[in-house]
Amino acid sequence: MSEHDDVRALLGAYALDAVDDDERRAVEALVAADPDAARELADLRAVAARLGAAVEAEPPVGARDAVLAAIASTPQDAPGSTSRTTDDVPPAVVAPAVPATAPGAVGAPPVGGPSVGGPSVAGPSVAGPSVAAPAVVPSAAERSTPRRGPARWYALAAAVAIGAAVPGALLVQQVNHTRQVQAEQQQVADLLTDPSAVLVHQDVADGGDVTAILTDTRAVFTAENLPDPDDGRVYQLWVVREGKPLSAGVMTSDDGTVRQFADDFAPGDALAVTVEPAGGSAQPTSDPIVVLAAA
Amino acid sequence: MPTLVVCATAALPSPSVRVTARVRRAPERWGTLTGVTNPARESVADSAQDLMAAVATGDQAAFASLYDLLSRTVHGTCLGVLRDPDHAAEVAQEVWVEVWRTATRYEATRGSVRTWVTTLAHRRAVDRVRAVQAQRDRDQRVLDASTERPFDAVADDVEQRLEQSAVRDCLGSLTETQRTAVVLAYYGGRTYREVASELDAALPTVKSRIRDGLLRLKDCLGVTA
Repeated sequence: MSEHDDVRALLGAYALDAVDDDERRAVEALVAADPDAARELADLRAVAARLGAAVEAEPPVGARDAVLAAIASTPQDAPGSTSRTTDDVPPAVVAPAVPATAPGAVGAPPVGGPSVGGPSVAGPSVAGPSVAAPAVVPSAAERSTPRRGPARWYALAAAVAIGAAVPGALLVQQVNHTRQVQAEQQQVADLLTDPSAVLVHQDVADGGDVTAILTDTRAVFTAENLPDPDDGRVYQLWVVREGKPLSAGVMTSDDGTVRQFADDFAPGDALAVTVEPAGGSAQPTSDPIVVLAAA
Repeated sequence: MPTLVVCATAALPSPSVRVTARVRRAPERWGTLTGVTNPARESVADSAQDLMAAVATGDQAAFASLYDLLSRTVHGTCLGVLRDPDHAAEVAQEVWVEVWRTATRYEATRGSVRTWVTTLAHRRAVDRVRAVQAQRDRDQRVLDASTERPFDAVADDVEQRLEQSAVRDCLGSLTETQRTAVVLAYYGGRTYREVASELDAALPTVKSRIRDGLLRLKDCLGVTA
């Protein structure tokens, strides 16, 4: 069976979200290139949606108001923005929304790399809006805060970690020490086979520790022991390209552990994390709590 | 997170034996399914399409109407996978915010609004399931069998909630193995690898069962994208 047929056989499982991330990407590549496969997938998806519609259920009281309040404060993406996936459903995010208080400054030096501390700028004070409802309703002042230029935004990172290429074997050892990365062995292993892989590690004062593996085409960001974001706020990952942040998705905290793959990553890009209103923002509305870059 | 899933499944004591034994009682239960109601969704589809166009321009009133149209489907889809009403409500809200945020990128050529929104709801619910599984796996806890939903629990739950619908009837038209694979994957939030492991079946076999089962459902339901 050809590789094409192999991937094609996955269309059904893909339509049920029953594939892993690598398989998902393979299917999306196939569908982008093969109109016939795209048609079949469209049909299978419509069938899958009927499975969902068949078990419809009344949302709880208050859900509607919460959603409407949340979207009232959520900017819409620019049309055509973020080409992270060929799929019409955005790539998976990690878990639910729990923003954090702003972590402080630089902690441990980068692993295996030159000890380049970032500018020790105080972290942004990301005080969550004091709203009891689950919905995020930023204050008028917060909404009207003028957006900073990309360059300044980037420079205001509370912590900047610079990594450097390290020998593969050493990299594997170090990665194995990071529990949540270990849990992503398959995907991480894929990244590690990339000769361009760079490991960046950063302890964030009061804010857990973060690890990223950056390659010339993809990156994975993981963090442990992150404080929960305030109610109605989330961590959002950004790929910083030539000073401009591109959203790489909202990250949900799973007991302080977050994890996100950035599938659109290029040499010279950096990763940055901000705290944003639930649902994420099209552009950052706060300063990054951490920036991770290759040397 | 395929590795996690596989590890989690492997940690269970002989899951395939336990589950396959229970699966056997599924056929007659599904086989008694009767009654076809085929709610006309065409008018809904049309208005959803129009509403979506307005939502993409930032129209919050149109969004509220779209919500009213599809909120039961979104919540039900999340609840079907997550079972826990609080989790379902939380994920449903994330889904709706994402619908709003990405409405500008919705392309009608890729399927109906209903399909797009429902697909998003299912994917986010499954993301949540896997995030929880991953956490459990990281914590190295022994998997509590009661937190894993064996097939018969999935089937019971689904059967109750499907009530009298065309979907229920058409699921009954699948072969037992097709139905089991589709139900476990969709409502149980399993990967096909997990399904294969639970049913002690080969991976290509399970892939085929899912695809063939969906194609048969498509014919039975008369679904077009």
